[in-house]
Formats: sequence, C-alpha cells, structure tokens
Amino acid sequence: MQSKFKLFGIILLMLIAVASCDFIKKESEEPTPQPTALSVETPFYFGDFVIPADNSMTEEAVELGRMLFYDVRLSADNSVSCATCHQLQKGFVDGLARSTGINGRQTNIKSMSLVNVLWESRMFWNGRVASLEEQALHPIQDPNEMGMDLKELVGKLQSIEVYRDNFKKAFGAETVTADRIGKALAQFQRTLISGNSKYDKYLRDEVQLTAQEEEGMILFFTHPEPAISLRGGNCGDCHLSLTTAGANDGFSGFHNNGLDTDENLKPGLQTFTGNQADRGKFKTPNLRNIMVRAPYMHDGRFASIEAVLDHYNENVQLSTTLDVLILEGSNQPIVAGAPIKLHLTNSEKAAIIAFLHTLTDEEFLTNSNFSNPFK
Amino acid sequence: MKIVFFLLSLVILSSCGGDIDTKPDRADITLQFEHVVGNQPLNFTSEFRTNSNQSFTVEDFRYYLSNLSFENTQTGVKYEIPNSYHLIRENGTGIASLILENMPLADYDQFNFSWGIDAEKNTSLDQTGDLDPSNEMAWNWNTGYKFLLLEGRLTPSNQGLVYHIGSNHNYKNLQVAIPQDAQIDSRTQSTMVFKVDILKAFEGVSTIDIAVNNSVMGGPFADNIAINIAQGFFQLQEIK
Repeated sequence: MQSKFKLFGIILLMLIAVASCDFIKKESEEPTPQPTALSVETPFYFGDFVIPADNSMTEEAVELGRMLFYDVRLSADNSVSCATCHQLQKGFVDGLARSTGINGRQTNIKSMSLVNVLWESRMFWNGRVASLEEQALHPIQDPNEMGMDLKELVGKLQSIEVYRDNFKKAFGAETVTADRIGKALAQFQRTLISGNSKYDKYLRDEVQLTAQEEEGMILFFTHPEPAISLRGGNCGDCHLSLTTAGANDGFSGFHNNGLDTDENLKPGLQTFTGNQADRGKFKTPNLRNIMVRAPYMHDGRFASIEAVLDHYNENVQLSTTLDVLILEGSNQPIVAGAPIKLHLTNSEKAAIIAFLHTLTDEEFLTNSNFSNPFK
Repeated sequence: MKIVFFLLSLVILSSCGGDIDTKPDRADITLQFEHVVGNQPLNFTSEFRTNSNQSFTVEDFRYYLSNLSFENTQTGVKYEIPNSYHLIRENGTGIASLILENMPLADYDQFNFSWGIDAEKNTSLDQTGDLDPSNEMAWNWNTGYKFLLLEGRLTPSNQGLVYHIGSNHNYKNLQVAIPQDAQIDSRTQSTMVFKVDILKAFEGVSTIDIAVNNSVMGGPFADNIAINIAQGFFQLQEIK
C-alpha cells in the first residue's frame, strides 16, 4: 500500500513539473495567434484529393511556402530557387530539356510541371516519392539542383529574421525544421490549381468550343476502334478525361509511351519498384497549360507539340512494356508485327492541337498569388 | 433502499444476459472476390491459357458492382445499401475484398447486386469515390463508365489484350441465394466468397477467341462478352 502511495506521489510531482514547465514556456513566449485555416476551392470535376491530416492548409504556411519557393537562399550558392526550374508563366516548367542547377550544373531530367499537383499521389517522373512534403526536400538536396545540406539550410533560415517570424506565424514556433520546410512548400504547391482554361469553362457550360476544338477534344478522348469506324487520337487513355492527368491511384498513371526500343529504354518507374514490367514507364503529366510547357517528354526530346503528335501518330517504338492501349490503338485494322501507327489525318492532328490550346489557363499563368513575393 | 434495488436489478439483468438469444442487430459483411483464370489464381506475372490454348498475361483487371442489397424473398424485408457503387480492382494477389460495414441484419435469403453502373448514374461524371472519373473507368468526357476492364498481352506475340466492356444495355442485375445454414444473421462478421473466373468471359453463351479478338472496346462484339459476364462470371462459393 505504501509503495502505491509513493508511486502516486511521484506521478503527482511529475504532473506538477510538467505543468510548471508549460507555464514557464508560456511566460517566455509571446502568445501566438492561430494560423488562418485555408480551404482550397477546386473544380468539382477534378475529383477527390487528399490533404495530409498533419499538414492542413493555412494562409500563413502557404505564404511561407511561397517565399521558400522563390528564395535562392535555399540553394548552396544562392543562385537557384525552386522557381528557377518551375516558372509560373511557363506552367511551372523552365522551357529546357535539362534544367540548370547550382554552379551551372545540368540536371539529368526535365523539370515537371506543378499544375494541379493537389491531385497527384506519386511524385517525380519515376514515382519515387508519395508525398509533396517529401518531394519538396529532394531538389533542395540534389547535388545537380540546389545542392543544399538540410541541416545547413535549417541553420541558414533560422538566422534570417523574416523566416523566424513566418515560421512562427505558420507553425506556432520560430524553430525552422526540414519537416516544416517541406510542409510549407507542399502547401504552396497545393494551391497551384489551374481550372480556368477554355476547356474548363466549356466543362462548366460557360463557353462554347469552336468546331475544330470540339473535334480535337473528341479525338483526344477517344480510343480508335476501326471495327466500328470510331476515329480517335488515343490521348485520353492515359491523359484521363476532365483532368487531362494520369490516373492517381498507385502506379496506374505511369506508362511506357513508346519513346524507345527495349535496348534504349530508360528504367523510369522500374528504378523505384525494381519490377521489370515497369521498365520505361514514366509519370503521365497533367496537360493543363501544355502549350507553354515545351519541350516535351521526360527528357525534353520534342521541341514542339507537332513533334509530339508525330511521335504518337507514326513514330512509336515497340518494346516489351509498351502500353497496351498504344499497342492496340490505331484508326486502321492492326496487323500483328507491323509498325505501330495511329493513322490520323493532318487535319485531325491540327484539331487535337487546337484542343490542346484550349487547355491554356491565362488566369493561372498570371495569377499574382503564385508569383515571386520578393518582387 | 433504492440503491439496493438498483444493484439487485443489475444482478438480475446480468445473470439473464447469458440466456437471452443474442443475435446481433448489425454486422460487417465482407465480399471477397477470388480472381482466377480457370484453376489458377490471377496475378500480374504468370502466363495463363484459355480453353483454346491461347496463352496470355494480365496487367490490369477491374470491374464495377453496384446497387447491392440483402433481401428476404419470403417476407419482402430488404436492405438496400445507399449510394452503392463499388470498383473492384485486382492488385496482383488474386484476391480483392469489399467490406460492407454495419449492415442491418435480418433473415436474408438472397443477396442482390448488379454488374456495371445503372443508366442514371452512368450519364454523369461529376462523381467522387469509386465513381471518380479519374480512375480510368470513365469511357470519356460524357458517356459513362466501362463496367469491366481487362488488359494484358497475348504471348508470345506480345500483342495487346484489351477488353473494355460495358454500355447501359449491358447493365445486369444478379442474385445469389443465401443458404439458411450460412447463419448470416447470427454473426457480427461474415464473408461471402465469390469466385470470378476470367475464362468465363470468353465462354458460356459465346465462345471468344482472344487471339482473333484481342482488342474489344465497345461496339457490338463487346455485347458477346458482356452476355458471358452476365451469365457465369460471379460465382458464390461459400459464406463463412
């Protein structure tokens, strides 16, 4: 009985100690106003999305994320920010096949657009990361991109007054951590929603498409079926309807789109999964604002959208993991073993390109909420 | 005195507890789908054979079930699951499950379900959850959902095997009997095990040669496969 009382006494003491610690802490810090919850408004037809429970959106964290995104001090030589390779007016890419990192180094892959990343569940061309929070820290540390040591970065930002203030506003404490950097950058990126293109307005019955744009849209989303004389551009099998993005469940949105034969196929998703069947599969990008995002493909090999159409129409390379919907996509009956061709006419190609132009969202590309806060 | 009475009644109640027939009001009922090709469990790596000896692999397999309900056909008691649209998707293990949580129990003798999406829901794509059009089951921007998607390759030719099946007229109501001895109403958890044999899509009413028709996406030929699926595709094996 006596020992029970002792234990009770100890617990009581500990409780008092904890309570007083808390009290002292509260005394020494200014009361922190609660960050303002932010609800993102999304077009209903973009479907479900998930915001991690431990990183709910607030105005303060988004604003902090925006600062971090545009701050060259996040790189080792203070020359490169996230925005160097992800430029608003270019749909958050940089117009290059290979991006330029610190000390003029070249990255080994094309930068990815950040348009509508809120709906994405796997990040990077090879899908190696499952959250924006984690993704954000990769380019910062990549030796060819921003080349920064995370510990060093935390110390660097901690020494800057405006960051101490903004971390406190966003997270309730001045302490800079890598976790909070990732969270703030992720929150900013989740606000990059492009849903005001002409196509979006068409989907909401606000505008009409021209006859050519509409023809292009129908071709874009149709898998050709020569047996029933159904002509199609075969784009929507991967760039799904309404979102024009790849599927976001697991690795469904990763495809081998016939860029190379088996000998030259880059590993892509296989790098992450180790699965031979994933060789040459890369993430299918969202196509909002695609017309300002040249060059195209994960390696930027096509300088123009016309070259992209030519690729899908007549230059697809056969390989063992080539997507079956490309393998079995043609406007003429398929002969086993013959080269894979879509057999679109020139005017059909032009119609598809006209449709792709309707995906440009000028309001997004000039949205001052997404631009450089230092300017 | 009141306290004593209260305690006494507690004792009485708790002692009675053991004798009362405690059938649960509600239960979680799991639908387990064993995806097979003939006798072999489905996976994404093996080579399978049709009855006409054509070999093939599978890379993706998914289908919609909808409008699930439990019914007693004698008394007319029926529980319809609200907003019941379910995308069943193979993940490479050969087994997919759907848990129906908190089902009100009764003396059911029949489970009703439909293959596909009813015409009303099938005309609109502003849906979420299992009907989210970004799940690759939407046909395109305005014409509803594929009811079944099967993709793979013929071997050794490496031709694609693409079956996208389902139009409004293929929507099919199906029923399975729930045997009395399954005692589904006396347990808080039951599992209904279905066998779903991909080969049954190629036989039954029409025999499909996948080497000849390796790509079927809508059109009249798709109806042949849809009719096969409506016939013998979903087989209740056991309730446990």
